[in-house]
Amino acid sequence: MDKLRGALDFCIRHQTVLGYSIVSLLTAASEYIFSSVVFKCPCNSGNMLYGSVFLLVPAFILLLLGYMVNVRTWRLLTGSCPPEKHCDCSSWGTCARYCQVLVTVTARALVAPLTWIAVALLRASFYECAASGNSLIKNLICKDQKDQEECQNLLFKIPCDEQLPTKISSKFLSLQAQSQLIGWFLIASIMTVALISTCVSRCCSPVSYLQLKFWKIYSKKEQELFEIKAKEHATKLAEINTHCFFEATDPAPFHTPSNEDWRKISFLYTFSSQKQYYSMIHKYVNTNRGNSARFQEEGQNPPVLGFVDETHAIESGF
Amino acid sequence: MDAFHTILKFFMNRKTAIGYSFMALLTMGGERVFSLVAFRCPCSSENLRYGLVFLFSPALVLLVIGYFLNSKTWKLFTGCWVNPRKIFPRGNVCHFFYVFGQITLNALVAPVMWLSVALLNGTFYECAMSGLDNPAYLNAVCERKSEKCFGELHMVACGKSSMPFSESDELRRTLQAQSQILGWCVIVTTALLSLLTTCCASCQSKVSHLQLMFWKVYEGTEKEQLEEIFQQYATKLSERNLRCFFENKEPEPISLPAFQAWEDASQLHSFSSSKQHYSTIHKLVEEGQKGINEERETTMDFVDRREIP
Repeated sequence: MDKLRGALDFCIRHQTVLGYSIVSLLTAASEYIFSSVVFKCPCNSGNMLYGSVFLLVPAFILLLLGYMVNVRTWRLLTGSCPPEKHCDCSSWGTCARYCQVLVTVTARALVAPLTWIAVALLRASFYECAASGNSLIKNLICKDQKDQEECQNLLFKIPCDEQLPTKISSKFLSLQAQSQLIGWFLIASIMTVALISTCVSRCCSPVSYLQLKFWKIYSKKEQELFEIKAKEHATKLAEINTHCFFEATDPAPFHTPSNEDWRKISFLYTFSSQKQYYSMIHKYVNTNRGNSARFQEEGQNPPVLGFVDETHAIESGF
Repeated sequence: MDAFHTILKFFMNRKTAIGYSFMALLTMGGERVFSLVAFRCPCSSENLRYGLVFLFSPALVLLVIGYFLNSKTWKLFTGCWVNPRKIFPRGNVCHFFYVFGQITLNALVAPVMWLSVALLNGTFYECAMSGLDNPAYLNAVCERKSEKCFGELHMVACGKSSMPFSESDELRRTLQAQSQILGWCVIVTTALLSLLTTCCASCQSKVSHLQLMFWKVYEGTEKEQLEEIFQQYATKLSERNLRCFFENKEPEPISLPAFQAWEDASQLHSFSSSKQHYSTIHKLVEEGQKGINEERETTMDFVDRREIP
């Protein structure tokens, strides 16, 4: 029991990394299933279309899923353009803020699609099929051959026949080798870009390392307590309403936050170095329930503080 | 026990994703079972009809089941024959179509999953299209093949044609490739459409993100409380009735909601941005009966999705 507890604690502490690893493993597993069970290269002029569809379309779908699942997307979009107010993108600040959040969300959502593409390239079947129908590759390989049409037909049949590549030309790398090289190059460049961008965002962070650590713990705690409090409040309100419905009495006065209060704490978080607020709820509570002018002050949006908006995800987006 | 609770909480927080994955796995399993056990391509001129029936009838069945299982359908239709004004309220005739549209979109998830899995597999489409008699299509598929292709395409799915193996194999691969490309198109279109509609609905939402979250929690809690209170009152009433029957006594009065109160509480909830009511019962209790009969605005659909059918 103790060991299970210890293992669980470890999982909870590193749940982001574990989450991404599980997503990558699932993507790799489904790519394996697809390429061995479902994928059959037609070995004719449709090779290029077929191979590219299998390589790129699932990546696009995973990107869309990534957008849907990310909490920040919905936090940014919910209620941003209600029918009674005309939504105005005239203010430069709002547009810039939207773009910045969109870029961060896209970066997070790109994990699964890039894993798919990298694993698919390493396994080589999709690229081999697509490249064997590609006119560029055909021009490269068949330029010294006398009979272009025959060479092209042989090229089309490469994914279906293991022996064929040696007959055409030994000067160039086989299509499978090309695919794997591109795959490794993609993985290496993604890792480099990820490392550089994390370094840059940490360098530009306005808060120190220990404060950031404390902040993350605070955000998680606030989310847990928010859920508990919300459930308590909802239970009390539901009890009052259902009892009054059955007993045909008037409800006792019960205070619940107004629509405007909820709207104020749903804004995207902005950081200000003068006053230290760890979340929008903290800011709201300390600025006279959002009525003081300090609540509306513009602040910075450092990328390292993106985690503040990513809490409060009960059923994000669905 | 604590660890078990943490694990359970983890899964409960992601129950939509888990539900959809489970549905996808079920669809894949069902499609596998169908194509291995039940599907036998006739390899004649009936290919097209057979293939299309196998492709679309399970989708239709799943759509109907989707309508059945959605509790909002029953909330919308219960009592509509007795009182048609309920579904076409004065001044808001489009309300019915709006709600019905939402129910249909929810019910369309399983059929689309079936269609995409069936198309990715390729068996049904291969059988259906090999029986298509359209000359333009035959010309496109049999482009560089022998003359036999035109007459024997429908036998290719069973491997019974007299064409050489390389040709019939290539034809099968071409048909399966078409099917799989079509399957991916269906999936991409659905994913794109659902992302766009969710974005639009979210953008136009009158409530902020955190309030929406609280609303969902409230809706779940209210449903539990209603079940509990139904049990309590049902027990009280039935005890009283049976006791008075057996002991031949006069019944003591128990206050229950009137018929009109039940009618009002069963209406679909609509949100008004000036007030702050989280459900129909909340509105009823705070404003009394007359509040319900006012003009309705848009409906917040998730509030009623999981009510008692």
